[in-house]
Amino acid sequence: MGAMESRISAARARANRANSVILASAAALFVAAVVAVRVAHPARTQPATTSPSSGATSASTSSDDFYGESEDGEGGSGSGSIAPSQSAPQLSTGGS
Amino acid sequence: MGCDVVVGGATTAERRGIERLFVARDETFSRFRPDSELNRVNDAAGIVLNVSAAFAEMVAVAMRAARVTDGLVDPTLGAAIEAAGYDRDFSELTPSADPPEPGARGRWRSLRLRRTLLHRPRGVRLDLNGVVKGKTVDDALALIDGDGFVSAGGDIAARGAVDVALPDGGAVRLLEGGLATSSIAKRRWLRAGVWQHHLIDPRTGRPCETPWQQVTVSAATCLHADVAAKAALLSGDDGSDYLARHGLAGRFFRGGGHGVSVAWAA
Repeated sequence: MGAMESRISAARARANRANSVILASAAALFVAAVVAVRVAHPARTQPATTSPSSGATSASTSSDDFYGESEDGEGGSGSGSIAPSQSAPQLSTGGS
Repeated sequence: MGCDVVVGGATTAERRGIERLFVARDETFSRFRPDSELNRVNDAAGIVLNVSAAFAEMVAVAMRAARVTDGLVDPTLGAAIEAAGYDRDFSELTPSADPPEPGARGRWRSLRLRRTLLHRPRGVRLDLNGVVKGKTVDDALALIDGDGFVSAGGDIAARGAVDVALPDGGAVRLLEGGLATSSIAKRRWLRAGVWQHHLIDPRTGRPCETPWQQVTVSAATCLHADVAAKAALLSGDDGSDYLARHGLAGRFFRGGGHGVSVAWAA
């Protein structure tokens, strides 16, 4: 009877160890997958050691959207809105 | 910034906030304050510097401006503008018999910015004034809740209609957005009997030669208008093409009242 209980205990211990191994492996795989996705993500900025001709910065974007977007990022036309003057000017634009 | 600031439509508290903003920007980006962050960066021995977030943001804006103008509006012309003689506050400049020194060409592509880490090759001196004023005018307008306007030295951002006098004597109504004029007729000084001005051509490192005395541009923001006006003026005869390519409206003024308009409906 005692020998049977001993075998059962040993089997439980092996099962527990197997569960621990499976859990640890799953956790390691998850972390590896997260790291792989982060490294491969296209939005990740280029390393600072990229070619000098690239001019890449973490803040620079395509030149095409410079005039087309407003500073708050809400978009908008490139040109401002102007019309013929209707009264005496309040301001002057004289050059800087 | 060495210019008058005019504000309309702001409450007293908003006006105080705008004043603080201009003072802070001047303290950070002035070429003529020995303790400005710009001068600390320019005088630093290292080539990789940890700059403030505000400074990094302005460098990023300047690099975007350089990119969209194919380098015509270049933030690395600090040494060139000093070589041309503009090495102190404009009000203190006096005619000099000394000829200007050769200026260094623009090297904006050599800059690297990662968050607040700035890599700047040895010998490159920054001058961010090509974007600081326009950006500050836009940021100041954002401090006004309702309709209003902000003008710094004639570079304007407005929300709501405001009538603006133009360099050639005409006027336009700015309904929304920015209006800026770039000029070689102002901020001039004499060196060895030759007029110098502050608009440096990054291709030569010298004050630019252009058929235009002034270019006025209307754009979505004051920053965009100012950058485009500088690029158009530096583009010479191709300036109108530059504005047309980017869908911007502008007016070009030669001496003697001759002008050219691009998509200028006013």
